[in-house]
Formats: sequence, C-alpha cells, structure tokens
Amino acid sequence: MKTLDTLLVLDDSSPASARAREYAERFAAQTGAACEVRTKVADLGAIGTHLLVVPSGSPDARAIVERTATAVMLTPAALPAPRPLWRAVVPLTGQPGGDAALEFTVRLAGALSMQVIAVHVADPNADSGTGLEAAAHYADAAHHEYPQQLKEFVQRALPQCSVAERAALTDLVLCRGDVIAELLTLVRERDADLLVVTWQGRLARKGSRLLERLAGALRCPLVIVKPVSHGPFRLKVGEDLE
Amino acid sequence: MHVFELQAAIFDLDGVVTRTADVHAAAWKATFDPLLELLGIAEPFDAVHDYLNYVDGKPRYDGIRSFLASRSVGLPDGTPDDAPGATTVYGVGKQKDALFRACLERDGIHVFPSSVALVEALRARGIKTTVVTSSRNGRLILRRAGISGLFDAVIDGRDLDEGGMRGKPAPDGFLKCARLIDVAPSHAVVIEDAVSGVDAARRGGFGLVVGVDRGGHAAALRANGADIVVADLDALDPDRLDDAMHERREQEAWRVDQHGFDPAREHAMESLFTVGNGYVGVRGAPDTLLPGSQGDLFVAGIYDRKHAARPYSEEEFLNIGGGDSLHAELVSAPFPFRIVLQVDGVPLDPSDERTRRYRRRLDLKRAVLQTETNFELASDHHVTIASTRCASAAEPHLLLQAATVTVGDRAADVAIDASLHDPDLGANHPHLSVLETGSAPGGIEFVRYGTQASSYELCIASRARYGNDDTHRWRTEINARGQIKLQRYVVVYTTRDTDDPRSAAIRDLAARDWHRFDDAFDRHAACWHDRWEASDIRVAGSYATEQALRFNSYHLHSTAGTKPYASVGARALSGRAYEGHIFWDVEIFMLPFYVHTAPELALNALRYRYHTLDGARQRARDCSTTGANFAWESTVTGEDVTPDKILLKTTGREIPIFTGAQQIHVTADVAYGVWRYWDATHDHVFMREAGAELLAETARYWVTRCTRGPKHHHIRGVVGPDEYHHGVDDNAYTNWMARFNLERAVEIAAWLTRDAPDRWSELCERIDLRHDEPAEWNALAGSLFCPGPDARGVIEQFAGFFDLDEYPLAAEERLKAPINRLFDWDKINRMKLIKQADTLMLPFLFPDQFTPEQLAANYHYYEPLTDHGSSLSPAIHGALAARLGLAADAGRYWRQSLWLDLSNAMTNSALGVHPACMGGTWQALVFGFLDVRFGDDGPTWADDAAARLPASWRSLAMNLRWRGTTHTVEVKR
Repeated sequence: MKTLDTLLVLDDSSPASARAREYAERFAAQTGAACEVRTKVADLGAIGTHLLVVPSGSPDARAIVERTATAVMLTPAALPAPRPLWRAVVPLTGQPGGDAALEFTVRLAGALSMQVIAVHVADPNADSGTGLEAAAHYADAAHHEYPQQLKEFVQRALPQCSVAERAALTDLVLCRGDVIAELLTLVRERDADLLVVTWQGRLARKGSRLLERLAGALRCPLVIVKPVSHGPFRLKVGEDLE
Repeated sequence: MHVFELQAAIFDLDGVVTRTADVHAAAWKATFDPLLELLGIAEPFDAVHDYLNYVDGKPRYDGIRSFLASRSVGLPDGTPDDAPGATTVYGVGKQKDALFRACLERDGIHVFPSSVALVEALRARGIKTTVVTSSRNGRLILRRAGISGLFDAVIDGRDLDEGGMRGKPAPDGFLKCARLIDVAPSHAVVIEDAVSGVDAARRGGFGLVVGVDRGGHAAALRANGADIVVADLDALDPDRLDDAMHERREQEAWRVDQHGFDPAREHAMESLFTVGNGYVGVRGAPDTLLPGSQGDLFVAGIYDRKHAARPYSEEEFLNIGGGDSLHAELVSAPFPFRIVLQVDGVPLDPSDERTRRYRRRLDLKRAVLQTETNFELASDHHVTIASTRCASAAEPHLLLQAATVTVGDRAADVAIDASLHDPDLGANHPHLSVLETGSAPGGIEFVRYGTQASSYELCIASRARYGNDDTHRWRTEINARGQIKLQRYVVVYTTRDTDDPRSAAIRDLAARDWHRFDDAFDRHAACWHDRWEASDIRVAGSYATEQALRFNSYHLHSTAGTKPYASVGARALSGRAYEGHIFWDVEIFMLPFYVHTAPELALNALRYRYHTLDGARQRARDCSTTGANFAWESTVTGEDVTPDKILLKTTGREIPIFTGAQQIHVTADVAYGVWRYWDATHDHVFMREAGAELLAETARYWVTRCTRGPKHHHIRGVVGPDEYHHGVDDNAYTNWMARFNLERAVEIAAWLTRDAPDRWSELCERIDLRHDEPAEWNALAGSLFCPGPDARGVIEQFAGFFDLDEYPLAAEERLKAPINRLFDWDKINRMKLIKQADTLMLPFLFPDQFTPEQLAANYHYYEPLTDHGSSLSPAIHGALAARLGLAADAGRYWRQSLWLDLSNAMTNSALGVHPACMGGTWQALVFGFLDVRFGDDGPTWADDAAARLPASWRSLAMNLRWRGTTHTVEVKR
C-alpha cells in the first residue's frame, strides 16, 4: 500500500496557511505524493486524497476534522520551518480498532525513514474524556500482563504491517498522568516532528477544546487519523445464541 | 421432549406467499432487454438465472445495479424524480414498477394455498406471523390478495427506505420485524426463496432459515445458510419447524461461530480458536496468514531462555532475575498450517478488502477448526478457500489439515504454497534458529529447529497432496465452478521425545497412507466422543450455557497432555502470556475437573510435579529449608522462574515481585492435589510410587519453614493468594493448607506402614526419612497457628489485616484493575484491598469445616474488598454465593467466569485463554451450585440444588468419575 497518494492543502491566504503549505510540500517531496492546493474544500467526504493539510487556526478546521474520512494534518500557527521529518509520537490506547493512527504512522515512517514512538498514557484520574488515554485495564501478575499487553496493543494496531514496516516503531513508552500533558512532554523531550492521534468519538464530543489545547501547545503538526471500519463482526455466543 | 421454542415466522412475499415472482421476472425482462439493446449488449436478461442471482430479494435499485454490474455496465443513479424509462437507475426502476403494476392489474394476485395453510396453522398455535419483503408494493399485494389479516407485522420496501434500513442481504428488515413483534431472532424462523434473503436471515442470527426452491437453486440456498430447503411449504408444519429449530440450536451449542473479520480482534479470536492435544497447541490463525497474525505453534515442555533481542515493548519492562533461566519462556514455533494463496497473481488473506465473507467455526464435538473465506475479485469472479484442521487426540504428534479452493463463475489461475518456510522466523519466533531444511521421498518437507539456549531440537515435517500430486506448491488454472483439494499431514517431534526428531518425523510421515487421511480425522473425533461422554454437561433451557461449558471443557482437554515432563500453563497452549509457566492453578483450579472427568490427565499433572521434585528439593536447600519447596512459577526442572523485580526503563523505576520468594502455599497446593486425586481414584500405585514421596517431602518443608512462637508455630513473610499484600505473617490460607499437607503426610505414612511396609522402608531409606518424622509432622500440624473465626465468624486473612486502611473500591475497578495496582504497589500493601479470593478459598476447599453462619460472615466481609484482579476469583465467589443462596451474586460471578474468554471480559484473551478460570467455573457449578460431596457410594448433592440453578435452567445432567465408577448427576426443577 502506498501511504500517501495525494496531499491536499487548504490555503486561505493567511500566514498560517503559507506554513501549512510548506509542510505539505515537504511531505510531498519526502513521500513522492502529489500536492494540490485549494482555497476552499467543497465536498470533503468525496475527496480521494490521503492527507488534508489545514492550518489549525482556520475557521474551517473543526468542520473538516469532523466531516472528512481522510487523515487531517493540523498545522499550528507557531510552527518552525519544516525540516526533514525524523520522529513521530503516537498515543496507543489498546482499544480494538482505536489505534488506527499507529498503522498510518508506521506506514508513513517507512516512506519517510522516520522513527515512531508509541506511548501508552495511564491517567490516574481514570477517564479524562479524550479517548487518547490508556483504555485497557490490567490484571493479575504485573510482570506477565503488562509487557505482554503492551506488545499486544501494538500488534493489534498493526495487523497488516509487515515485520519490516513494524521496525519503524523504536520505542513503546508507558507513563502515567494527564494524557495531554504527557503527550506534549514526550513530543518536546523526544524532539518529535509529528503527533499522530486516532479520531475517537469522545474526542469528537469534546473535540474543539482538546484539539485547541493540543494544537495550541504543540510546536509540530498534529495529524488526526480516522478509524477504519471493517464491516460486521459477530461471535455467536452468550446472548447472541440464547 | 423439548419445550416449544418457535415463537414467530417471518415470510418473504414474492415466491413464498404470493405467486408474483414470475410477474416480477417478466417485468424485469421487459425492462432490461430494451435497455441492454440500447447499451449494445447482446446477452438478454435471463428470467431465471439473472433474476435469481442479481435481482430477486434485493431492493429494486440495488437489483438494477447488481444486474448491470454483471454485464460490466453501469448507469448513473439519477434522482427519484426521473421519469419511467429514463436511462438512470431510478428511471429503470420506475419503468419496471410500472410494468409490474400493469401486470397485477391485468392478471390479479395468486397466492400459494400451501403457504396460506402454513400461516394459518402457525397462528392457530399462537405463533406470530409476519412478512418482510423488499417489494415497495408489499402492502398493496397483501391487500389485493386478501390476506393482510394473517400477519401481525409487515415491512416492505417503502418501510425499508423510510427507516433508513439496508436491503437484503443485510438483516435490517428482519431484525426490525422481530423487534416489532417482540420476539428474539433466535426464536423466529425466516422463510425465503431468495439467496440474498437467506443470507440476510443467517446474518441476523435467526433461529431457523427455510429456503423455498421453486427454481432449481436449492444448492445456492443451502450454501448461503438455509437449514431446510423445500420445494413448497406443504412440506412444513409448526411441529416440524419447531423440531428443526430445536435441532439447529442444539447443534449451535456444539460450536463457536465467528462471522466477519476484524483485524483488531484477530489475536483474541486466534486464542479462542486454538486447536490442541496437550502435546501441541496451534493458535487459530487463518490458513492464509496476515502479516500480523500470531499463528504460534507451542510444544508442551519446550522452553528457552528469554530471547536476548528484546522487542520494543520489553524495553519498558525488563524482568530481573528468574528470566535468566535456561527455561524461562515457552517457545513459539512457526504456524504449521500456512497456505499462501494467490489468485491471478494476487496474494489474498482475510484482511484483504476483497474479502466478501469470512467464517470461522470451532466444532466442539469433533474438536476441529473450520474456516471459510470468500474473495470477490470482480462481481462475477469469486474464489473461496475453506479448510478444516485439528491436532489429533489419537496421535499427539499429528496435525491434520484439509483445504478446498473453489472458484465461481469465472476460471482462475490459482497458486498455492503450503511449505513450512516462515519468512519472518527471526522476528516472530526468536527462540528458534533453523538447523536444517530438507525433503524426503513421498513429498515430505521438514524443518529442524534448535532453541537458542536450552538446546532442544524440534522437527516439524509436512506431507501435502493436491489431487494425486504429492507436493507443497501447486499452480493451476481452475475452471469456472471448479475446485482443488489439499490434504496435509504435519508431525512434530522434539528431543524431549526422541534423540533424533528428524528421523522420527520422516518415519512417521512416510508410513502414512493417503487413503486413511479421513480415517485420521475420524479417529481424532472418536477420542473426543469419549471425552464428551465423560465430561459433557447438559443444561436444558440455556443453549448458551451449554456452549460455554463445552468451550471451557474443550480447552481444558486440549491442553492437558500425557507427557510427565509437562503440565498446563496459565494460558494453556493458546498464547504467549505467562510464558507457559505452571502455577498453583493446576492443582487447585483445574485438577478437580480432570479428576472427575479424565483421571488419566489429572495423573499426568501430578506426574509433572514428581518429575520436578528434585528441582523443588534444590529450591528448598537454596532457601535453607528441608524437603521440597515447589516453584511458584515452574517450567522444566522445578526451579523457580519468577523474576525478582521489573524495571520500567523510561523512568528507571523498579517494582519488586514478591510472589516467587513468598507465595509458598504452592507447595501445600501440590500436596492437596496429590491427596485429592488419590481420594477420588484410589490409585494406590501412584500413591505408593510417587504420591507418598511428594507428601513426605512437602511436609518436611514446613518443618523448617515454620517458626516457633510462644504458643504456636507460625509461617511468616509470605504472599497469600491475594497478591496485593506481601511479607505478611500467618496468612490463613497458607497456614491451613500447610496443616492439611502435614496431616495428610502423617496419614499416608501410616497407610504405607500398614499396607506396604516394604515400600515405606524403601522410601525412608531413599530420601533419608527418619521414622520419627511423621510424629514430628503431626506435632507441627497441632501446633501450627491456623487463624479461626473471630466473634463475628470472620477469619483474619493474615495477622494485622483487620487494622489496615480502608480502600474505597469503585465498581469499575472490579474485574478490571487499574494501572495504579502496578505503580502504587506499596500503598496497596497497606490497604484492605484484595486481588482475589484468599480466605474465601478455605470454605471453598473445606466446606465441612465451616458453618453456614461462618461462611456467610466471611463472604460478606471479604467480597466487598475484592477487585477480582485475577481470573481465578469470580468462580470462587460464585460458588460460595450459590451455597449461601445469594442467587444474584452467584449468577453474576458465575456468568463472569463462564464467559470470561468468550466475552473477553478482562480484555486480555488475545494473550491466550484462561484454563484455570475454566476449571474454576466447572468447580463452582459442581461444588457450589450443586454442592456435590463425595462419599464411599459416590456423589451426593444438595437437596435444594435445583433451586440454586439459574432461573432459566430446567434441568442439568452430567457425569462424575469417582473411584473407577461413572456416576450421573441429574437435577431437575
């Protein structure tokens, strides 16, 4: 699978969109994807592109993120000039189907020769409402369950990635704290160029505030990946059988 | 005689109730033929073949798109305002509708008298009758036919559109109809003449699907899920339908079916669908593996040092100590059923976007896994691969695989590679390196592997046949509607069985006869027939319970072997978690199941403990104690492979692991298992040759492990079954079990002295046992402090437990312990928070030593403090709640335990199934709900056992082995 066929940049002539365009062109140059520029995005649902690049301050940004099935890169206003991408951070929740961002990033990493750091953030205050925190719970013997579960979370998120593709994932970090704060810290400490998250229903409900908080504090682009639907699935047991 | 289960019948209209199918077909032909001519397509609409395959049963516009796609053309959808005859989908649809209505006006509506008779017969029995049709004219047709009053609900094409429901083959209309009449789909029959309708009913989970074949498509109806196919409804009556539904549901309770493919759930499904025979286990990955499949093959007893090249995840968690053992980790070997399938040069697996249908079925009765994947390469180009596999119960080294590749209406270039080669061996199976690959006469291929550190060798060899060709790689052009078949023997041998596994494997395969391939499956099934005779539990009134109990029994039987060097790991042979380590789970949670259903498997579990007795002796010496101190986590030699601590690399934080050094109750648990087996079997040979020695050496351990106090002996610095507290003194469970160990050792010493004095003398001499030691054990048993009930009747879990800080346990933390348990281990140690049944194990294991009041006092004290962080916990609570008559608690805990893996309740079934939970569930039913006790004459059960059963159960029947006799336990309401 080719990771990126096309990048589509929303250019509303603002200074922020000029920087968004620079990032898109850098991406396109590194991945070999085509790069189109539009001043308006009319029918986002029908676009056959693989990445929309949108200034995070754009008035259309939220609507674009919510409506499109395509991955969206939000570029904060205060971005430095783009450099060759070398490291991305991806939060890993462990929810089945909830970590599409990891596959997207790992495939992207192959095209960009980029490292990927997955981070599993356990929020001691349980549900922070972002959908980005560790969704799974652990049980029984810690030295058995924790390492194996984390490994499983990665593999569950990458069922169609080859061993070679998975090699882009260099670190899997477990940390505890406020999920947004921990992600921002990790991006800063690891000098990452991208934060890639999976669009969650809960993120959608509290979307604007959280996205603003993330995008406002980040000094790198934020990529939001929509989960992939795999059609109906049914295990005929329990009530289903009764 | 079963209870009448049929509650509703859902009829399709055209072709089932009314004779309008011909009218529809004629209207379609009159619509399509001029259009095809206009589009320059010579082949006209076939009113039989095209009607049945592309149009029948589907919503009108879907039918148009489907048929045109079969001619490789399409039309724009247009709009609902398009005029009849416009060259758009809407225009064509309206044209057909106009023609159809004109025909109705001209010719009227004809009904099938036999269908109306069946509807009336059903209604006379109080069974609801309904119609679901894709026809937008459904209600009009019923009215014109004068039969509207025969149906409790009608859903037609207009309802589907207005309700935003998908048409057939989606089940939306049927499900909506079932909701309208308030009948569960499993209690309704769907009667359909269209393939898409049959498919929809099957997808909707309806209790019975009847296909009506009025046009020579019976095979297609059956292939898409019809349980019964009839030429006319005069072949049916209410009783026959109900019988068929009952029979189908009985069959469903003997299997686990998965429909659809979800890569994110795949690892959990692989665990559930594992096939095994105790010698090997193979996870249930698809034959055509995904890149991320974890199709591991595990061989019992083959362990290796933790691999040096740690993957990313273990950079976060480094185990320190224990993991350095040569035998720290169960080795995963490559998937032996791999088939690389290419059609027209395109590799295919179930995650491919061209997958139209994926089914996986675990046939519990025959213990075979069946998979079927249908790929749609084009609208008229389908390829299906179906396979069956098993790990032979008759021959432990043997795996069997049969596969069929079938093509649809278009010929296909099909290439299959069934070789053993794993291109990612180093990444996926780092414990192994290839020592040799080769072939042998007869189309045999083999790979000989060596473990990296432990120096085991294993040889996996395969012999495959396509048609009459012995080969692992085949490429051919398959004609339209043709198929090819693959048969395959795979064998596994290791240096734990033979000095030369390669020769053994080749010799084994070379001796096999293709004419006896099917016999091999049958011999395997015959073994399982015997197992089910001994262990099946019949629950009238709950198919789902029967199914789940069988699923659990299947896994318990699939993982218990006959080799004395291996026992059952915490996740059986179904996953990598717990690294194949053997815990107290075996003796306390699984052994009773084996003792009372398959005593030979229980014997083997105890032979494993005898096999590792020297390791336990060494461990005792290492701890400056005497006798035998069994490992908390055991693998090959009996050494303990529990790490001392784990290191979180990111933060540099170390978290100590206390269980290896302190969870010493496992030694008494082994003794308990020995006694329980002997008590239930009177296998005196085992007791004389191994059991007595196990009891004596474990008793000796307590003599030096206990410390003398002013009044009593004490056991200090332990971890009990509740692993949230470490370094505690006088844990009630540990001390009670140690006392039991000492008392039984005294008893057996007396028995041997009396009944086999030569053997006793020989044992004393061989293990340097003084003749006064039994008296010493007896004295210690009397002196050992065993916490008893206080004034409230509650036993303190350990010294000082009552004084710990309270922990406000939130409901959502139960069964899903949050991560704080890891980070805040020291804080938790000071709290009244319990991971799993600890003190409550005592009334569970020793019911006669507790009054009902004491049982209630302990249950009500400890149950609210327990978060069930272990899968072992709910079953014990369910059992005790049942004995107390707490029906709600009993049912809730037991259901959690019963469906733990099938519902992925702990979100960790991807790492392997939980056999100890399965054994605990069985015990909770037998020793909790039924409260079975054994006497000289066999089992007795509680007088009020029937009242304790869940409300929907009408009866329960099972067999229990006791001292060589099979006893039937039967409880009826």
